[in-house]
Amino acid sequence: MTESIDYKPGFVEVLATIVLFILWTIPALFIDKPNILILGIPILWLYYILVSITTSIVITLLYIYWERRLRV
Amino acid sequence: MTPALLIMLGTIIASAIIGFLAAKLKFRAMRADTYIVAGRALGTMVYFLNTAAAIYSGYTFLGGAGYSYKFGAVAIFMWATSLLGYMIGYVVAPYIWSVAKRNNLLTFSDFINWRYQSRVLMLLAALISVVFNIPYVQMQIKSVSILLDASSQGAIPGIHLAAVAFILVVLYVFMGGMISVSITNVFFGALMLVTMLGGSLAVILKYFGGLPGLYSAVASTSPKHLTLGLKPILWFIGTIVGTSLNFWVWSTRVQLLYTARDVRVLRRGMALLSWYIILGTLWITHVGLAALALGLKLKDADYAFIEVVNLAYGQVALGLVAAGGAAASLSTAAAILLDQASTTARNILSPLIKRELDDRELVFTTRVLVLVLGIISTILAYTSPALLVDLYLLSASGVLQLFPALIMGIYWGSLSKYEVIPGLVVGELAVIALYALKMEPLGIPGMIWGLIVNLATLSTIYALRKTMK
Repeated sequence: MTESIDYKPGFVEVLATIVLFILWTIPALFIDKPNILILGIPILWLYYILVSITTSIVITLLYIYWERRLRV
Repeated sequence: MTPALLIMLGTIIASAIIGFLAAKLKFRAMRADTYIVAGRALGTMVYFLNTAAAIYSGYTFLGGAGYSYKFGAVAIFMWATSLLGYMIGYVVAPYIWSVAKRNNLLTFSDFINWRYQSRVLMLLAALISVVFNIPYVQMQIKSVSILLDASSQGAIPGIHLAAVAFILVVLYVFMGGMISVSITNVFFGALMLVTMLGGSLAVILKYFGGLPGLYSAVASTSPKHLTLGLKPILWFIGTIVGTSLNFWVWSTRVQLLYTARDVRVLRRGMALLSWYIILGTLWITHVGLAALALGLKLKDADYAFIEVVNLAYGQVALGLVAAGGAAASLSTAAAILLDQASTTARNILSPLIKRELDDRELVFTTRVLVLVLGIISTILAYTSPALLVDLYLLSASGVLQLFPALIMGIYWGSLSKYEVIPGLVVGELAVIALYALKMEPLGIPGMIWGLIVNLATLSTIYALRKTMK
């Protein structure tokens, strides 16, 4: 590699990626219980809907935070 | 002619007109970077909708509902693939983009060549990218054919009209390259989102009053579809890991990164694309459950979305959804075709003739290859349609083996071609062997086994090389 890295991922970005990978994979071993309902939604489906929204929020917040730092 | 068919054909013709008009935009000289990566000039909305339309294919549009109809909650892996993919994209895309801009890279294989200074590795990456994408283009033609069949209620042979629609796409890609692709995809991307969200919500609200009603109906008709039990749990987890890691290793997607105007556009695009999943794919998955709860007997699971919409709202709604599906297929086919043609010209033909193509030669050769590869895909769609889905799964597994070369190579400075090439070859052989033997040991997908032996080979050779120094 002949050039320096301009956009090295920050600690927070790497940590967020790892945490999200864990949230998407490991809990699948424990929450596949169709009899447990929350607000009429099986816990497995509710969990993954919430993790989906959380993932989008995390990416959006990381972007907003990064852009604010650029302006400063 | 049914109203649905009329709407669908109208949409295809409108998109082709947009593509041709876009090619007529005032470019005095069509430079290679204008033709192949839109001059690296796309702003946020065009970049976002172009990428969304190119990434989400007919397979996703029809298969999202089809997969949950067949395998229930296992289809959730599709949400993870994209969402984790965008998280990875947020982290690595700015670096790939900045290197590409500084070094005038136009293809994924260009990046590999720049990173490892290896023509062999570049050629391998180019061959994997081009060959493994051929079934993906065929699949788009097949998806349009399914939609035309459904819209015309079997009155016309869908495959012939699908081939004509695809040839229109080939022609506008030929004329305008990425400019035509991106402007047409703005139309396609918006249409897809509206039809995915609108169609899904309309069905769920009409029959079930909301998600709790839908889950309750599925619980009484087929409770196992609410669980992950229709596939091994390790398959679910392994597929999430494998498909999200390989998300940015598809050469078309790397080329799409190059089209962004700056890093701000890229990162804003990743955030917007993640919301595209929440508003689109997430809902379409639930339509498969709706088809199941309504007791529809489908001739193929992939018909779930269009059959449910037809049942609920009739021909006009079917036409709109089918138009969205056609948009998904044709937009993906266009982007892949351009990537295949430019990769073949720049990273396969150029090394073979042992000469760098200049700007004009590169544009000319890419254009000719757009036509040639378009014709090959059309012929294959007629001659070997049954192989499509199987070949797609093999493609995804094969492409994942490029993950260490691209993503790990970015941050592991001392990783060299001497480790990457053997790892890649062993990983591809493992994938092909497991595919041929139809084996998934311990229920873990072949793509993950391929990646494991790939990484093991790479690490072992790296350690040996360091020890011998």
